[in-house]
Amino acid sequence: MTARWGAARRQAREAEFTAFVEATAPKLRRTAYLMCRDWHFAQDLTQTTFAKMYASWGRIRHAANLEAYSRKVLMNVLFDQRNRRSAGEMVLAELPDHAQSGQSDAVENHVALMRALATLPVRDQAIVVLRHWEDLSVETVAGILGVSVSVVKTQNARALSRLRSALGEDFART
Amino acid sequence: MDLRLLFEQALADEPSAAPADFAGRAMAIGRRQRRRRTIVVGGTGAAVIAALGVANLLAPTPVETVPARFASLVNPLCESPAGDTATDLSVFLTADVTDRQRAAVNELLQHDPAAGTVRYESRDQAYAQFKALFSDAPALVTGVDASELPESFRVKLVDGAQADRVANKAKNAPGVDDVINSRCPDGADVTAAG
Repeated sequence: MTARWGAARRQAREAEFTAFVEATAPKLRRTAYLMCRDWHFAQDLTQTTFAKMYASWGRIRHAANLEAYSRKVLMNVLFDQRNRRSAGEMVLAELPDHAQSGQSDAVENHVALMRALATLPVRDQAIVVLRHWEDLSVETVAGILGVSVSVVKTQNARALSRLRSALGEDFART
Repeated sequence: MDLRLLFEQALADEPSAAPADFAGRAMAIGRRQRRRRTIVVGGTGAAVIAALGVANLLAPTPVETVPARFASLVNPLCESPAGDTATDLSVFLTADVTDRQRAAVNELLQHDPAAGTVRYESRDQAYAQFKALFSDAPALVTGVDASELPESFRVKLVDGAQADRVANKAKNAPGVDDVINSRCPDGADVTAAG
């Protein structure tokens, strides 16, 4: 009897987890891609994030903002990956060689942006992606990254100013 | 410039193949880990021997792989034509830089034989440029004021091979927050070809 109750409960729990994953996976994978610029790596990051969340699902399933929590797990996985690599080296995918003449301005612009983004410290990349792609509030981003609101504001401004610096004057005209 | 639009364009090459069964795999990994724990905890001699055989089969799939194809940092300016005013080094000062430190950094850069022109950019100038660049995205400009943008020195080098040395020297100076090296590696500089 208890065994069957346990099985039913587990089934409900797995259904709930599956529904959560299906609803949030596409967006999470895109955010992962913007952070690493490689779809295969983004796939791995997304899978790892969900595996970690399932491991503590019983504890977190009733959390107020599971989506924000998933971003926190994702960013921590990313930061961990990066720390495991040599200190000075940046985890960064080799981008396809898009930026050639004949390509549309749109393609050139976004490749330039992704390259410029890649030159920022990884936490600044996270701030830019979470703020300007995911449209999350400063407070939410601060919560995800475990830093203060003022740090998010300052680093965001600095990151944007560096994007401008890296993209150069040409970019401003387009 | 609309960052969100650019991000959307950047996602245009998303593989259209059906996304993997994330949930199924996550749960399988979780179940495997739980089973392994059970085996280890309840390990009588026989169970341990059995587990040794089983453990290999149950070893979690290595999901945290870092693809070997990651390359080193690429400067965007090296891939697209840059303007004449392209800066080689941007030396950003800390928020609480003192007058003396600023003067010392200026001195250090001006007197370096590899430095060509050294231009100081105040917070107000940085803010003016920032506003001009993001003039079509007022949402980005709102909430940012001049005090949040760093002061910097923009350096154009006469000897590009010295970029790393000058960058390191500047980085270690008091009052310097960070140095961004925008030099293109030899042979990758398209400023002339552009």
